[in-house]
Amino acid sequence: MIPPAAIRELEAATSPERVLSAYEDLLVFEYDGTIERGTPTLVVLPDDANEIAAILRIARKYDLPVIPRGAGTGLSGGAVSAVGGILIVMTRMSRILEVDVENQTALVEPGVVNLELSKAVAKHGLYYAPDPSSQRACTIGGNVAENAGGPHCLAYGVTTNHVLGLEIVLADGSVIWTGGEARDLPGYDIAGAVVGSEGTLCIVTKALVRLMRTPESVRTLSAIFNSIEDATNAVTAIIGDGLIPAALEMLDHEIIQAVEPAFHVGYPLDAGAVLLIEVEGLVEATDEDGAKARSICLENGAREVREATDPVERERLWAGRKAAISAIGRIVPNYYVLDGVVPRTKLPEVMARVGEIGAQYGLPIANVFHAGDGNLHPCVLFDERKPGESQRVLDCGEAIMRVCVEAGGTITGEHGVGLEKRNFMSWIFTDTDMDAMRGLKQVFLADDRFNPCKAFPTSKGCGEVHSGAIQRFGADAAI
Amino acid sequence: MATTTRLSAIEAALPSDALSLDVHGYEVDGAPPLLVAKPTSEDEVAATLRAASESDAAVVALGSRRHLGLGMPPSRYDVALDMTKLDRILEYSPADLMVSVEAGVLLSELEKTLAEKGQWLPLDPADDGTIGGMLAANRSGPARMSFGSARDLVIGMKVVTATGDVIKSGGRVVKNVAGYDLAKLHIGAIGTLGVITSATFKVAPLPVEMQEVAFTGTSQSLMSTALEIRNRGLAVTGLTLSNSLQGWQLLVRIAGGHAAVARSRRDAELLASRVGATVAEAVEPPTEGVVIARASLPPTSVEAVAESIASNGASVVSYPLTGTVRGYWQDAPSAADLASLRGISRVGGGAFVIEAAPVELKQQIDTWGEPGVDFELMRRLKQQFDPKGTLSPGRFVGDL
Repeated sequence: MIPPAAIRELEAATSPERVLSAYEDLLVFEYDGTIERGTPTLVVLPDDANEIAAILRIARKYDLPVIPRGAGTGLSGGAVSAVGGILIVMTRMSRILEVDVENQTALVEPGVVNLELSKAVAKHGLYYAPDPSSQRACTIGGNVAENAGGPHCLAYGVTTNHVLGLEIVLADGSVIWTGGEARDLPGYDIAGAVVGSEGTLCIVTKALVRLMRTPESVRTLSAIFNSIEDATNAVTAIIGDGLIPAALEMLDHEIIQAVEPAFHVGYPLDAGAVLLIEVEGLVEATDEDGAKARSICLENGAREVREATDPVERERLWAGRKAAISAIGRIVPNYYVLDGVVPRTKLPEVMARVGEIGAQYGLPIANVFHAGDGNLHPCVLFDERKPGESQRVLDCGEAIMRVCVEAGGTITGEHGVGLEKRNFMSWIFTDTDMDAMRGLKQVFLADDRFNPCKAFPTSKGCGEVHSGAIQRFGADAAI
Repeated sequence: MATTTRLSAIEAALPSDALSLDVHGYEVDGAPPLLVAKPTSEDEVAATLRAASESDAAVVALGSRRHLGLGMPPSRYDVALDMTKLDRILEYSPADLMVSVEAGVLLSELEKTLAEKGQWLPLDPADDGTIGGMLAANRSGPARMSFGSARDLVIGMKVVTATGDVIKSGGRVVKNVAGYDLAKLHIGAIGTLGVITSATFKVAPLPVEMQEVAFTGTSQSLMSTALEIRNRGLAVTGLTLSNSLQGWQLLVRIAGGHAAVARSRRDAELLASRVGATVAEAVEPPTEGVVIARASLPPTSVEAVAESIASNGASVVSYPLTGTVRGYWQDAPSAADLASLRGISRVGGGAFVIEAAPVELKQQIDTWGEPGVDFELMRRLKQQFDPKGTLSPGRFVGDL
């Protein structure tokens, strides 16, 4: 329960229309891109950093949890309210404040949609490189919180490689600028520590990001293979030959069954796997790199290698990849997208294990992933209305995560730890490691009220959020 | 071993051949330590720091000792922690473009190993040194414009804390968002938050072909050439703007496939000639100076600051597209001159750090400059990770 006095103070700090407490309003914010659900006690939509400072001071005064949220497209429960509290929705702060064309930077509010930023600077021949598949909806603030990746991160890096500075608000209401257009400013890299901190340290209210020049030439190829094994061998051969494409994505047979009818990309339904390869740069470079990629794919058993001949075709190929996961909705009612990373060279054996685990749990798995990075996204297909199915899905997911860690990888490549994997952290970090990380929370004055139950192993009061969701939609579902 | 009883715990923590009273060459700003500790493993580093913490001793971790001039003189200095014996390459997987090394490995040695497999770590500062030192000082070179700096290349790190705990962040894979990115804090921290014992990097394939061409002209024409090279996306992986007795020079490193390199060379020469810059014999820029200072700026401020530093009698070496401008003085400038250059850098949207200077000069002007608005967070960071001031006390920003 939130004391009425707190609500009045929040309304005074923002405005009554931007403080939501009616159940039907709260429901709208209880989800994200996963099967997690959590109803906040209150939702507040601030307009600027000063309002956020006031909200955080009020939350501190009344000892209330706070949860920052962007567009709610997250894939680890990071923006889902685990134990109630004040959900601070950042989407009204959506202005691009400054674009410095000569220095190739942009200063943006956290609610700016990722793709909208690139579109806005396109006229200057610039774009923002980190391109998560959800980029039509996800926000820069969310990207910063999760250190978001995307297909083009193979060549250009992830969000942290593009953030130059941040304005942040701490739990005590202090508004602090850190970093800047000049690199290597004296002192500790505070902004670097904030990126990827999953909203557990502070709230980001401005981001100064690096922009890149759009390349002279882009060539997009799709290579059709008979098996995942052939395709992963081609990936290893491409990288081993010294070619780092701008993007190197894989889709497997299962996911093609969803993607092809939805997008008519032209993938044969009997393909074992498809590799989507993109090379960028000068015309001379893309000619050479495209030819090299093509011949390597053919050498590794590709049935055929096609190339997009115009921007429309390129768009369609990418739509088929970026919307692949949402296309799953055509074939099953629910899916659970996993996010694991393994060293590239371990991909063949890990993909085989993923298949075995799916069979073991009786669950079909569709795979789409950033093959160049070793970042896999097995999608477990299921129907949550079937009794016991949701729990099996979670167990299957956990088994797959274990395989990734055993192969020398990690539990999350880009989606974050969030709610979903907080109890897996001890597989890869010792208590001492995690104590050091918790020490960082103290530096930022962020106690356990700051996005509770996220990113670190469960503390008292976090309960079992998963089983909450399962109970609501599982065996007792009336549908 | 005869040091004070205060250091006896440290002496007990290491085998006797890892300890030495011969402190010559370990001075920091002229001040020698009492003891040199030279551990051979991460565990020995941890034992040393644990003992140092218990003894209230002050430790400076060091490698090749090339950049010990960074920062203000230490307020206390008891133990030199020489990391050069942690010199193993721990794991190298060329197919995964990943290498993991101990902090005492020399960058040049690492590059030799990687080159055998047609790869390199795209970190190319002007001088050689240990990996740990490179990271602690956040050294970088011209390749930064294409590959980023240490913060972009490190994918995992192990650090020993001020109390002797070994902590890990990141991992062995290029995509990893598990846990806080603590490595970012240690890079550039000159060992004041922890001692780096090993780091894992993503490496890059060596280019098929590489050429260098130098142009001379005015700083303005060369700067505009650099920007045009960037704007046209030419296959250029390094740009160095420097001055000498012969005037200003832009050294352009072109790398990639044969056709891309040939095209980029032609285009670069054309762009240069349009602004009156001409191809010339490359002149080696300096790497030494009685005083060395570095301005960090947005690219659009580089030219003005570079000219100001040159007017003050220094040789300038700048990586214009990433905003680094370094001045090398053979005759020490006055504190007032340096303060003025700092002011100009600030107005240009950046900062000005003195990287090496005689102690007398450091007493007149702070090497780092005024701390920023985020200093309170930095102070709390230091307080959290090194509450007793065991690690290089007094050397960092704001006397941390």
